[in-house]
Amino acid sequence: MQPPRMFNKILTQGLSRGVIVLDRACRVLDWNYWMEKHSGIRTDKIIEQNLLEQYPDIQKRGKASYIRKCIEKKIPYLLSPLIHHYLIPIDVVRQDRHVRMFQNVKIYPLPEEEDDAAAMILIRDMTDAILHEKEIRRLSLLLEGIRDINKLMVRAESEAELIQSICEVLVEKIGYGFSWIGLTGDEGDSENHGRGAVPLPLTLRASATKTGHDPAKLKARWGDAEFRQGMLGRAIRTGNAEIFDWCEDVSVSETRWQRVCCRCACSLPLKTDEHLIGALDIHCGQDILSSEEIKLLREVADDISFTIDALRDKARHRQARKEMRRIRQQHQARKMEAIGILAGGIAHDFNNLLTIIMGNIELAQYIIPPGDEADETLSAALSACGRASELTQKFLTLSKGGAPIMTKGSLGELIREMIPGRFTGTDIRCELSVPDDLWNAEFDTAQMGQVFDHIIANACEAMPRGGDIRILAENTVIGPTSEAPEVLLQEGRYVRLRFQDQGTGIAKEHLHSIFDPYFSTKEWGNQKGMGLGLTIVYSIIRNHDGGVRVKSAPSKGTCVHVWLPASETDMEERPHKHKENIPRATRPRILVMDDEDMILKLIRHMLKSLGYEVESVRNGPEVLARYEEALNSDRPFDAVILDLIFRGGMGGLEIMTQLKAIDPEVRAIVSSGYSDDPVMSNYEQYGFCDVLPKPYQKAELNEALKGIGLKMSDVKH
Amino acid sequence: MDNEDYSPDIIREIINVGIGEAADALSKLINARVFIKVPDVRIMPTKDVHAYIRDMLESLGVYTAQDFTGSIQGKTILFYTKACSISLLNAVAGQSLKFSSLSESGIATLNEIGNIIMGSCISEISNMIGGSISFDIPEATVEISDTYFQNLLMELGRLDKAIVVRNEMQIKEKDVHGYLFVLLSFEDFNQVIDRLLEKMKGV
Repeated sequence: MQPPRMFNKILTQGLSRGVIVLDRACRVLDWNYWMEKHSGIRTDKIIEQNLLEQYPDIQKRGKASYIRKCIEKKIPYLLSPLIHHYLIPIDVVRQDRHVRMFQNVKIYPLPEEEDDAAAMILIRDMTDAILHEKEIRRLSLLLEGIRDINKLMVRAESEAELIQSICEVLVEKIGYGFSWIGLTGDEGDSENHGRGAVPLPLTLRASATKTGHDPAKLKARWGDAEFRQGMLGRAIRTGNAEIFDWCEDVSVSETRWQRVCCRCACSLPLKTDEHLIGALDIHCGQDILSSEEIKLLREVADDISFTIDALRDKARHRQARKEMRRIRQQHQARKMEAIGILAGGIAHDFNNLLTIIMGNIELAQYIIPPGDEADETLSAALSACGRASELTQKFLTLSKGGAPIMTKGSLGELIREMIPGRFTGTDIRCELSVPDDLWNAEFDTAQMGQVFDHIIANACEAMPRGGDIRILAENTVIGPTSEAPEVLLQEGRYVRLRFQDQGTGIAKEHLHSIFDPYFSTKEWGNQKGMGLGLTIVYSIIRNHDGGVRVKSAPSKGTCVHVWLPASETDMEERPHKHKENIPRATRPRILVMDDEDMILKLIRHMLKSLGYEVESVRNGPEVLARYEEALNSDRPFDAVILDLIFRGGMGGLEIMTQLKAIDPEVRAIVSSGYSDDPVMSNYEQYGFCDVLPKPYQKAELNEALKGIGLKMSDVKH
Repeated sequence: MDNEDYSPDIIREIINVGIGEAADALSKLINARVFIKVPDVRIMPTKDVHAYIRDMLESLGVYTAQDFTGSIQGKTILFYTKACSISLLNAVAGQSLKFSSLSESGIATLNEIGNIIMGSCISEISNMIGGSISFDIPEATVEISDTYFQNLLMELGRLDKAIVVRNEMQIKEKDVHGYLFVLLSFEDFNQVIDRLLEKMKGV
């Protein structure tokens, strides 16, 4: 039994979806109240009208075929909203804007016997469901993106890298069409933030885009933001997010919207402590920005501001620490320089005195008969003088490090040659790690030996019961982006050595004093606790343009780090002294110059006892006069011994220059208590044939003279 | 040799054509190429279908059921796992909305896809047997327990013969595996086979 007509009418009119009944020619036979309400077309106006003519859009979009096939082939069709969007074009208002209704459409074929009706179309409005689904999806994406941004913020080390990564997440992960971050500068400029102030340019610092649009074209500045005048300017002035939807503004042409490739945009000020530091602009592409989305984006902007502020604080802190370290290093250097000047002066005078003392002791030993009781006493005194001389040598090393005689060579080879022998007879095991490709460096071999000695001696003393010491060598580059070591070094290539012991370690409060002379935490005397070892290491390494740092903690051992600049060129052979052994007539003549009478007297004695003929003078003009006079005679001088430092007169270097002018073949030996003087270190460069650091003994004097080609059998009295 | 021996091959032929039509219709609808593999077709008692599907798939699924009446009567059911349904939705409508779960709009889309696939297969059978078959609009159901599908099958006591089609498609580089069940009474099943055999013999 068919239901009564009235029943059908009540049912179709009361349905919360659209009902359209068509005949075979697609003419409307029924049009329910829902359709009237949503389409705005009254039933009596559409009955008998052709639906496809009434809505040409159906035909235009290719949807008419579904209706026709349903009628002709009696096949039901479903048109889902995600694939077809709609069948009947109906606009609805959602969130204050017009949107085309999303429809779920069912097209049923009707039995032919039922009047003229051939098909029934049922339309269900799914706009809200789909917009909500889209909103949920967008917010989910946004939350996922914010999670990624938060991770970036936690890991951020560089401001530029952070903001660029954030822009990329906003575009690539969340799906915005375009985003950029502009910054006012490192510190912002609060004075220019008032209304009507001079335009403050924002410098574009980072951007990402899907569309390939050039953000520079937006010319984001005060009062000249993208889209319409002042979106960015207003955001900065008000301190609030500014949102713009082109659909709401008739002044914005579709062409302009298409050029920028976005429908909706927002500008979010970046502020720290109410000071503007920049702005984050986001351009949405096809979608609109919901209030929830804006709220989340505001939080993102706040987090970006906070992170930028924190990074800047961190950078300032890092800079302050670097500056503090520099000041500390400078202070240390000045302290060492002052100590050096004092130590050098004392050492020079002391060496002169030692020369006299030692020389006289030696002469006394020659004078007294062999086997005399005094000989043993004099030998003891001479031995003590020798130790005093070693001490003054250390003072001199402190003074200027003893100008190193630099040669390029393999530090790795030096370590392998020198270090293992240092542990012979100890309970300490040494583990060396030296890569084959270790860069060459420029160093003074003897001084590096001292460095190794002092560091290893300290390590051994810190491990009285034995233990392990690891010595590692490696190449390292200090550049603008590399992590700087905690010592002041120029940027460049370095060889780094690490000496790690397992000793008792050093208390934190002592670490800042360990390079001070005579500072020691160990017991004094008996070769322990002189407190000069690390001072000398520091001095030598600084003179090599390197750096040294000690890291230590009680009962955790000590690690001494040493940086030496790597050579830029290949290894060079160390120059060797080649001295011509010239056969001379017996009793060569030596001219000696020194301002100390006692030293002159002593040297005369020494040389005479060695069989030389000696003439001594007390100043430069006398040297020049006597030398020239002798040169023009048949008895020229075979060698000259010159004191380098001369108080109140011509020094050894100046005399040498003038002697060279008189006799380019002159053979001269330079002597001084300042054994660290560059002339003493590089005497050949200054024209001297050899060097005699004070104090010296007769044997050393003899050796030096032999070295320059003079040979004379020792003549005992 | 009786009809039983021929039936899998004959049905496979028909279903193959039907699935091909469905792929073509789907391809036009979404404006993308749809690749199909030759479907695996089995014939089994309806009571065994549930055990079969649970052996093959452990997870819950989405099934879309459509009744048909006319020369023969029965029900077609299209079954996908939830993961596969989401993958299918993203392939078909992914540009406008990315799916991570099944929503109302997603189910509406699955209904339309089901209507295309099932309608194409049944239309092909209808054409081959020369009868007239009409369909209802399909309804998709998302399983929230594995008794859903079992209950559905139990209600179909009279439809004791099941044609089970395992089909594989590739849409926009996404693989979609699903099952299509055509449930018929023993009499209608035999009728289909007889008519098909007659047609093949040129009767």
